[in-house]
Amino acid sequence: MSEPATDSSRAPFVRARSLEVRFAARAAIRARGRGEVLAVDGVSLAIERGETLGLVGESGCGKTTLARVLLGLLRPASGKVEIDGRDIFAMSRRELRRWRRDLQIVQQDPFGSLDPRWRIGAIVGEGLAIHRIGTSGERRQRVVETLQRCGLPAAALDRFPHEFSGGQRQRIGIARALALRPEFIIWDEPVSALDVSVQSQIIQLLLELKEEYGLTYLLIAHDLSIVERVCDRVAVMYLGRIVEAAGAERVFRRPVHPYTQALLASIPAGRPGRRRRGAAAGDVPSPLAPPPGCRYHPRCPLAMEVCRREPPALLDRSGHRVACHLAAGSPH
Amino acid sequence: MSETGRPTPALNDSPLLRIRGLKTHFTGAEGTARAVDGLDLDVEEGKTVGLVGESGCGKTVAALSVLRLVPPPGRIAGGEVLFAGRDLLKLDEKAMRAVRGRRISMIFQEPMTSLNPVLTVGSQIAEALRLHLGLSRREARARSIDLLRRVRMPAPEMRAGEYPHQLSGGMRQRVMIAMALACGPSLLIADEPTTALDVTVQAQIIDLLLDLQEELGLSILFITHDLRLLAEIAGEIAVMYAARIVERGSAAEIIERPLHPYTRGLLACLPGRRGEGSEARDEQWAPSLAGAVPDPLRLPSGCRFHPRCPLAEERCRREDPPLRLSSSGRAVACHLAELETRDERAEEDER
Amino acid sequence: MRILDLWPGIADYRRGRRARGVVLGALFLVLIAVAVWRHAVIGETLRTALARLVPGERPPLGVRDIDRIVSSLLVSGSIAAILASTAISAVRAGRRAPARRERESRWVLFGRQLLRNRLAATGLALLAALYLAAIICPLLTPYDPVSQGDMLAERLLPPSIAHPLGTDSFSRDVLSRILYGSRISLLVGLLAVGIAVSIGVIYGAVAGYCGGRVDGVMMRALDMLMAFPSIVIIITVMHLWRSYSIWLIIAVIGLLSWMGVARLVRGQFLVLKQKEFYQAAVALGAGPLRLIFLHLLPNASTPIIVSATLRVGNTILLEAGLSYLGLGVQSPTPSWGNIIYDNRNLIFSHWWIPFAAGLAIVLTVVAYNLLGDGLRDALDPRMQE
Repeated sequence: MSEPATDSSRAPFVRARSLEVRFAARAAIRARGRGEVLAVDGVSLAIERGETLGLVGESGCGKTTLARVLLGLLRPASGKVEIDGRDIFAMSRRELRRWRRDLQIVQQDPFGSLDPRWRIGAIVGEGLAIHRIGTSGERRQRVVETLQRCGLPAAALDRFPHEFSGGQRQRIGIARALALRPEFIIWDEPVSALDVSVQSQIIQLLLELKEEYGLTYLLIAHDLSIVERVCDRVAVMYLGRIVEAAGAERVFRRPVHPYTQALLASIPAGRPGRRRRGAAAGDVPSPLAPPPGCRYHPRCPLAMEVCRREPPALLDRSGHRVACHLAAGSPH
Repeated sequence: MSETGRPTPALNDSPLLRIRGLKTHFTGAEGTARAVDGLDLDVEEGKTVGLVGESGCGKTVAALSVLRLVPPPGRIAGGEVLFAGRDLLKLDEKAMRAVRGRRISMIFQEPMTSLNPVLTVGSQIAEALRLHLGLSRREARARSIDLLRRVRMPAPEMRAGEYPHQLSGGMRQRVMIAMALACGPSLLIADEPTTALDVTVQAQIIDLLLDLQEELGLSILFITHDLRLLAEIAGEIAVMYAARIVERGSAAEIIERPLHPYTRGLLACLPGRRGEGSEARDEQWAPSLAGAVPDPLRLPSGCRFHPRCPLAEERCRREDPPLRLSSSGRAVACHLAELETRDERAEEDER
Repeated sequence: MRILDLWPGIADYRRGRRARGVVLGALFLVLIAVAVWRHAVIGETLRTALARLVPGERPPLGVRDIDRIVSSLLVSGSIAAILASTAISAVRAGRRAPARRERESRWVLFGRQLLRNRLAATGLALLAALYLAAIICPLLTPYDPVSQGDMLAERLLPPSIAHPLGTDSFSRDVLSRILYGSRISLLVGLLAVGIAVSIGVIYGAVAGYCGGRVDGVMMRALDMLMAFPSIVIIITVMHLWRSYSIWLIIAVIGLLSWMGVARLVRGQFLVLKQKEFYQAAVALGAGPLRLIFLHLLPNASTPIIVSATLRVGNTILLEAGLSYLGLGVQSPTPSWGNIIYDNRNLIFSHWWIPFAAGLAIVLTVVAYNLLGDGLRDALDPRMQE
């Protein structure tokens, strides 16, 4: 597949420029590490209209924090988020709230993401009520349509979340995001809490909705096989930094960063008796005390002296961005 | 490994674990939920058997039934669980305690909740050793560090003195495995041991389990919903649906020639790898399993899969298909799978 | 329709609305029993009240007279209202099939769940009986709780038909005093907890929603307030005001017991703010009022309501304790606490007097605790079907 044609005159739909997010560590933790956690450390990325970007990484790498910044829910310590060329953190509160209609999120946990005291109709219609869209009859109509589009019966309207299975709840969460007819949806691990059979149904719905409404997606996942299926481009994050980013085809066919290679090797191939070995050793280090130099070096089988000292820059080679000293040295 | 020096099992006819017609029911105000209802399963000595199914199909209850740890109001309503020739369901509670942990161990999905947060991990492993093997405090401590080393815990002497919250998820699961192996069991039941872990750590834990199996000659009953994973690690796969086994066979056969429509559905749900056969990615990766697992309170009539089965016939709605065995050791519970079993038999004959 | 269906509640019961049927039927039974038993008093009271509507000579009304009129009106009015509603629904049921409502309100579901829980239903019934008795006590006893009778002939009588719990050392009917005393105790419980919950919810909600520095400052202030020993403050206030008015007691108890509620609400809010559904609402663009009143408070309501019911019991005990110390309601106005206090010397000779007042306190506190536990289950929508 080809990179989306970039018209140099037009900015990408979503653009993040060198974002940094810091969290103050609690006193008990602070005693051992530094005073703060750099959850997102100089991340830049761009998403074109109509594109699906996959954001991959293990727990604690900063994926979800990045998503919250892109939604305008969390103010970064430095850096900018531009949507359609406008800096969302330079907007007034009111403007930002208006923008929230266009940016939606589908969360991971189908059990925690729905208010247990609300009926489905109210949950899905909440965005419409907040932004005072239409009369209450019109809203109800829109809610029913959206629910049905997401594969739920109109009778779901008056029921409570606990009456539904995990997959159905995830559909309710999708309907809530979709009811406002947004342009951009962030999917935060949308299927990782679901059964395989349900996973494929939800992914199918995700693809159909994109087609139907011309949506732009950011898909956060740790399951690479799903990312591979769905995404146009992939960015791999490790401890707050992007270590590799390129078209999905390239990342999956010719991964350059040793971490990406390890991630790929960890996916079970599903072929009898063909277990690949040699995935990454060790655990993800604590973000409170990230290793110096390249953050992956303690787990990297190919680590060199320079990896321990200097953090590698994210270098762009014909659209394939990699942050690795090994890749920088050799012509790719 | 075992201190009793088990006799070598006779060929084929007495596996280490043989479950026959196991029934575990939960009786509540709304009726009886048949969580496990007529389960047949064998685990051979030194082999890995994978038990696969969607959540709510009864996998975990089946595993807990083997150890007789079903929480109330659950109750084992029938069947037998033969372990090394003895029916565990007939043992008294004291004899059963000697089996648990010592001969059969279990590891769970969420290691954090299985570990005591106020004790160091080393003392928790030592506790199990002293309880079951009657070791002295010092011996137990040395053994526990040894075990941590065996599960490839980095810096085991130091980690033994740490508390569960100080360890990462992968390390906690290593501690759980060390505890499970403490008394040299012959069967390890692993209930989704990697689901809660990060992908790279998942792979490490699986590698560890496979290595330990080789070193110690363990039998493993591996419970998961991930058929891809089982394909790689299990010798035999049993597919469970609605409280019962619907298909059983070697991993290669199940993956390459699934007979039951449910197994086919599960396989079709798996995303294929790019560059490994599949061309375009949007190309018909349609979900083949509509609907959801039935409520164990209201299991469907006839074949329990018929409401979701694309091939269901009138007969499937009425008659419950028995688990039929083929000559090659393959088993399937489906009225319509007969033809394929015959083909298979014909192929065998041709050879 | 059978003749039995004319009794209020039975038709409801048959139609499947069992809880409603039982409650209505039982209430009607009790009211009819009281009306039949005291028909003479009620009749006379209502006649006098009616006579006052006619222009002419109006003798001044005492507090006791008003009390009697209100009680009589309440009993007869309730009977009439229940009969009327039964008649209306009977006529409606005859006209067309009852329309089944598809969507039941959360409160209907909640009520059904509450009544399904036996302990909670017991607590609720007990409380209903206690409050009903407190309201209509002029009809339940012919004696005045305050004025003293024949000091020689009627002093310290043992229990009898005329005085089921005997009389005290001032020749007053003990049952009457306990019945009238329930008004004080039950009122103090309800109002003081109402004040405490109102202040506590507001304070806790502000601290929990704002979080950060605001929360830190507010919580430290709370810690300081909690460090004051409340009994000392109560005694000081009573002395400063030189008053033992029931309203002052209610206000002081209320103002001294909201801190626990505030802590509870703040803690709930902090937990709820971490929930994904809350963050989803923020992502949808919801403003602070919507977040507090539609997402946070409803989800925090279960522990608030439960702790409030449990607190009512404690407050009744506190009032009784104050009265026992001579700091609460003053004799001759009866309260459960001062009945025990006044008769403490009779604990061996006339043990039933303090015992009956103590039993009333225990019953009320237990009833509130049962209700509190039942509410905890019933308010969880996951428990409803």
